[in-house]
Amino acid sequence: MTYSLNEVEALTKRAARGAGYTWGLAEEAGKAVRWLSSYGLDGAGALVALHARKNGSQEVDHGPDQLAGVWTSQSGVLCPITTGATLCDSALRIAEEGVQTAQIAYPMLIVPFAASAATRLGERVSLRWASVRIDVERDGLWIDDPKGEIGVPMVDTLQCGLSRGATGAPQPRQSRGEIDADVFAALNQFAHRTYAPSTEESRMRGAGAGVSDND
Amino acid sequence: MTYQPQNLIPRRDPAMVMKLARLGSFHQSRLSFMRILTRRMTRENWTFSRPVFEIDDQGVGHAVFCAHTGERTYSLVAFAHDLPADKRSDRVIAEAWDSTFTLFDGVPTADDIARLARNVPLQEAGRVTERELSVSRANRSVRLWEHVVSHLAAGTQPDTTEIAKVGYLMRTTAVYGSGKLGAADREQIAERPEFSAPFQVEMLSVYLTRVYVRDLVQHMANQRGGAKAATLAPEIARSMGIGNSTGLGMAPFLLNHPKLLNNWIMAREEAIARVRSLATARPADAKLFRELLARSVVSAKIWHSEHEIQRDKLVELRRDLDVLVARTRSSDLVGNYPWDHLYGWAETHLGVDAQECLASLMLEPYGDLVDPLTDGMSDADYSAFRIKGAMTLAHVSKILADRYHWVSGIDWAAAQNCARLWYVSEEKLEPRLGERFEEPLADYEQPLAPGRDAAALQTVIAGLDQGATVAEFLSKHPEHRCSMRRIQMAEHAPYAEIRDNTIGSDLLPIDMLRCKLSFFGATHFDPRSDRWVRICLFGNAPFPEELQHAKSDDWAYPPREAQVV
Repeated sequence: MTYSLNEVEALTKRAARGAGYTWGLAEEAGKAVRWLSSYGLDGAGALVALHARKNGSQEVDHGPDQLAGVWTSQSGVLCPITTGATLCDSALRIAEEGVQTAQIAYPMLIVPFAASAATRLGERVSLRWASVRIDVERDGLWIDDPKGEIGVPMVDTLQCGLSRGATGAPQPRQSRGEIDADVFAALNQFAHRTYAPSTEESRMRGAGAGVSDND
Repeated sequence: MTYQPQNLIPRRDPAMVMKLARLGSFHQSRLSFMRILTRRMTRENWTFSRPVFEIDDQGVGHAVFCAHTGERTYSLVAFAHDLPADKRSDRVIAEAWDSTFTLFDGVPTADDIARLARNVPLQEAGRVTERELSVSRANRSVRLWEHVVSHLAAGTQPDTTEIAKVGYLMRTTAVYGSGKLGAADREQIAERPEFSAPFQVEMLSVYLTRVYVRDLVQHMANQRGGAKAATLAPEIARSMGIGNSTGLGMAPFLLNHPKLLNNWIMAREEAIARVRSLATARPADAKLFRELLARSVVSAKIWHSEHEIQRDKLVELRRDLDVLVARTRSSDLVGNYPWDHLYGWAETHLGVDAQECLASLMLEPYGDLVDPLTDGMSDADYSAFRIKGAMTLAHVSKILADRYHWVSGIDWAAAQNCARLWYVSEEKLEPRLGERFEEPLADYEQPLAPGRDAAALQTVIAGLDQGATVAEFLSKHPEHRCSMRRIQMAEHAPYAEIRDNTIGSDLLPIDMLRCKLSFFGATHFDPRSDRWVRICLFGNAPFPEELQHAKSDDWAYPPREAQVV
């Protein structure tokens, strides 16, 4: 089924909050998945897979311990949402010296943050992991993925810097987001954790009922 | 948006404007979204048609109402239902309605209508597509509906006293746009001139709904009365608007769209400053002002509410408007910065409600100064979301000092100052307000207390190296990311933030609802509790066949002879 991009963003934001991100990072996750959906990339599936993985281990939402040097996390694998937000916040670092990370999960989820940094810088930015090369700018995305590794669950390193040249036609944008039914159900499960159980008391008090509304 | 300071009189201080008591006293104005729409419809000679009206003698079926802009056609597809009385509720948690609607982008085919008939009546439980721009529903005013149908069926006009008591035949209980339930995202249509101002899709949907309601009530009367049924008199039809019942969902909207809120308030404040800066007024301007003031007095007289807070406010507003009328009799309103003097006098002699009524009224003679400001009321600045990571904490501290100095005046640890919390219920995702210390809801709290969160951020960064960057800070303190985003946004958006406690025990959510609804152009706010309100939309507005004869767009002020009950 297709969804409006606003629906994709709203549901993903709630799901990310339900998965344990702070509100500010949950907002970032919503925007990131919306951006990926608008290029036909399955960001929602990646986010669900990331958290299914986390539920099975003790990993949480780790960003880099230090912004200088290679970005690593003592506690384990870098989270692409937290690390992506830090990457965008550190746009100048991308321009000045580039950023290299250690092990990072679902690197596709970091692409929207690089695009946001590119917009901030007014430059084209490249990301590289495994055989994948991505170029992004304000309104453009180029993907070079000869071995089909854009959706890999983990890479040992990822590099981000200014881009020197691009390749071919940019990816077309679309106005709707496609989400598989099982991914949609999983997002709803995460999101449901943010909804308070309804009680008769909350039904009456919480929305200010009690006066007739059938007149 | 921002404007270069060019007025002699500056815009009003956000510290004064952005208090809930004032926002909750706002009145409609030339900048209201309904009036932006009707001005455009008149200016561009929109035409209207009703290609389908297939509703049976029980009032069940569907109809299509089209608005033709010249470039495009938009169609309200309306479904009429036979709703048992015990299912009728204004709440979001309702599951059936008297009528349901969608605004279709173009003219729907029979296949489109068949698809919509399977989905639109279900509202949240159905799905629409990017061909649809909104989804909405409405319930009858049970009392007035039967009154009007039975009188027309008997060949007589309805009693205008009964009509004046309610003001509408149906009230909408939700109008969803912007991608909700699968509809088109706002971004897909925002470039169309007719939708560039905020909420124009929703306003168009409600405008066409009013036509549908008029036609449906006539149809039902004709079914019942046959040949002897009377046709509803145009002036009675025109006096009725569409009711709207609005709950807590609108309050989080204002908090979740700080840039948009800023742009609305900024436009109105800039308009007020421009008019106050006029050295003189033309006699015709003063005459128009006095005329609309007289009609505002009528509007306040026919405005009723059973709610004690609103009753008290109305007593004060009516008294103040009489004082204002007396004042304007003793002044020619022509020379010596007349509007600034009048407004300055009002600040010390009238209550907040009448001050805001006056502020809106002063704009009326000056469409040339005011109406272009509508261009800046949308928010297309998506970059504001992006955190400025290179900003230093010293810079953040300066924004906090400029824009958030009010947060230090509140003891956020005191129980009465954090007594409430906003949450979303699993029951149809209805937004609700809970009691923090009485209900087990803390884990579900939504981030809708910007003042408290800014105070917490301020405390943390006060102890840190002020030369550190926001990027460094947030990498260690991701819990402040949401608040940091707002604070950075507020730097260039002075009216972005409500400068009051949104979780205190004395919070009145209806203040936030009235602020938003006043920008829609709503009048006659009738709170039903501290957290939901009924209003009237498009009351006295011209119907499609009357638009081209409309000499002005001041229909929001009732006629002077309007019936007072």
